[in-house]
Amino acid sequence: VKNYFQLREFSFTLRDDVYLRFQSFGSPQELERELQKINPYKIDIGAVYSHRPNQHNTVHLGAFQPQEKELVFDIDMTDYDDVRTCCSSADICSKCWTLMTIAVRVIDRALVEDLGVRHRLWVYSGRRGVHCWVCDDAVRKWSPALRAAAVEYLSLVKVALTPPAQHREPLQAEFPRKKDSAQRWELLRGRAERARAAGRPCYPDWEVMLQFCFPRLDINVSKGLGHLLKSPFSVHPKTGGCGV
Amino acid sequence: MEFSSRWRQKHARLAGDRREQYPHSLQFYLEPPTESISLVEFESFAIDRLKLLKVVENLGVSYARGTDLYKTKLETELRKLKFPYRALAEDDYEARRKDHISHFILRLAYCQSEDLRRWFLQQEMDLFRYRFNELTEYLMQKFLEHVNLSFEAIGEDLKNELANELSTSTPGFNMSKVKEQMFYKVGLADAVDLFRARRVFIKDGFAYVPFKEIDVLVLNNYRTKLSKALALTARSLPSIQSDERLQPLLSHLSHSYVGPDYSVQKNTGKISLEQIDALSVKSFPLCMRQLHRALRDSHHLRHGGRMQYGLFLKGIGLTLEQALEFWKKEFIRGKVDADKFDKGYAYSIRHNYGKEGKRTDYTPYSCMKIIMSNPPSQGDYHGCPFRHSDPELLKQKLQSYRIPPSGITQILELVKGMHYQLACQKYFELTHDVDDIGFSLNHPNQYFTESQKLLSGGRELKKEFNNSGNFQQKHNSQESINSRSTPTSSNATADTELEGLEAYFTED
Repeated sequence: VKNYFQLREFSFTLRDDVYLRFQSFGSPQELERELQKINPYKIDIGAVYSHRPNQHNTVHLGAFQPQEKELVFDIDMTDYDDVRTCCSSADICSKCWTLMTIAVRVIDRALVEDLGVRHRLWVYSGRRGVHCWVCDDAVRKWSPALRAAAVEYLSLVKVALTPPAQHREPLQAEFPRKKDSAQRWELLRGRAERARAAGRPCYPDWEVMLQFCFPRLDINVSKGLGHLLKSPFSVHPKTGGCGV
Repeated sequence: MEFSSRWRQKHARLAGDRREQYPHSLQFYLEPPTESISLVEFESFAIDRLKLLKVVENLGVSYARGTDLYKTKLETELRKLKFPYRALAEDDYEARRKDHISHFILRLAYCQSEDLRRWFLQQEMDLFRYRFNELTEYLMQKFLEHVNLSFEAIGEDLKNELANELSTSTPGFNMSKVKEQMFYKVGLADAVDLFRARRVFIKDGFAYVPFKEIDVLVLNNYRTKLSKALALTARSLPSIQSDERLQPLLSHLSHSYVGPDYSVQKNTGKISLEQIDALSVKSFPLCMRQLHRALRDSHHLRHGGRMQYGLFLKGIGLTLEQALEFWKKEFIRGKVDADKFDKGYAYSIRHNYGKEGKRTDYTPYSCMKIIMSNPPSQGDYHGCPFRHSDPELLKQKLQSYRIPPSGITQILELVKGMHYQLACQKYFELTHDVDDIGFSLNHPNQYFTESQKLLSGGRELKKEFNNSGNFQQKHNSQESINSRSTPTSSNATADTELEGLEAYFTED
């Protein structure tokens, strides 16, 4: 696509919450100059449009449309608040970050093996999660419906966690005797594995694992072509953390 | 010399070879018709297709799609209206031509708003799905070739290699079934619905679809094409609307009530006469509450009121026997004696139920019909109170029903702006104590059904999503509970020409 860079939307948020959308630039140098001049608080990247975004008001209604955009995913640590006890909301630590790592690995495998994706960038959001930018040519042209389908494909419905009846009582009796959750987990897992070895379908351990670790995605971030997402390698306004 | 199939078709049209023009009983409606037709034919084709789509919608409400009953009834309707049914080879030309032309005419009428487009798309897809699934396997293949959707079937070797994955990832397919059925390798974009719901095996950006699910792919494709076409048509609408011959017809087509007609009563006999007084307060729309009140007070209703209220009662499930008992008991309290009732009024009640004369089973009136036709005069209680009542009297009535003053003000504002159905929706919200009615009101029986559903706790509240981080887009993820929300243009200024056309839609 000719003029690819010129058709890309950027958005800046200025210090006093002034929000500038549909910014576009003739060249990377021009972007750099503008950044230095304006010094925005926050930088977002949007889609590649049919016309230069900074001229969208001159185009008649309906003709100014997003043409392509990277497929993006946002995994937010606050979505895991119900299964982490070390932190909550915007706090993160090395313990709960493991959940994030697991989610990243699950999604990455699915992207590569199932969706046939090659070019993806995983980047820390700067505060409490990660973003993934999928840049394959074909994927950039995906419709909103297809993007939403990808998120749904990667999402799992929450199932109620109850071990089968015959296990519940003995487990409940023994749990208090165990020193910590690691031991309790081993107990549960041992029971389940033994049941399976004896030919009985019994998966409470897997259900717990899925419940805790399966990726939790926000469909609204991924679905729309016009959606804006924080630029990788930029500084997060609230934490000062850099997204790499 | 090689002639492309498109060239052959054009040439065939000119040479009068009709079979070439419509080689299949089914089509994607990619090319608009280019011949000239009379206005009479234009109108009758459009109306017939609208009737057909209404039937498609009603059947979809009353029966599960794909069941034998559904299929038989739809086939009957297609034959009655002279549209293609079953992939007959020979004398189908007229039916196929009608199919082609009528589809494009309705596009003009139904492209004009989001609601109309959604309704049209839904019914056309259901119709297409039925017709496609009626094709034999051979004809399906031929049709797919014709529309350049020849999906690539995977070879035996690959299938054996993937047999395990195919079996575990495709619901309803054990190993032996995998071995016996064809599988197709398609891009993810072509199999969105299957991919999203995890009903197929996917690998490396491709979905492996069993023959059984091919119709999903074809429908996907059809939906995408038709959706785009409707959007495009909407942009060229101004020039069409300026044509004086077409404009009245097109606007009438999209004004007509096209929702479920409540003639198939799933709840027949479930209401007892003793319940009606209480129901009239809780679950009747204002027009029917008013009629019921008038009937109880004066022990009589004139013809307009008997029709509107009587058919409504039929729609909520009153049997003929119950109706006769109900009206007789009330009329006898007035000036009518039993004999006179049996000789006169009973006949017309039986007529409404299709037991006399033409034996047409009359359908309950929609809001559009009540608002636009047969305005009430002195001594009448039918019509739409929001449309026909004096605003002051309406206000007093609402006050007597203990509607809060702020609510009454809102209702009167809507009435002033001629948004009668919205006013009724507001009345629903106020009497049921909900923030949002959750559906688009088009029919008194719909009001009743929804009210009953709500009161018996069978409905989830509509949730509004608001992603606080997204200042750039208004995410409107509201899902309509009543997905068959019937679209009507809300222009309530009555056009008397509508009368003639309405006749097409009163009886089914």
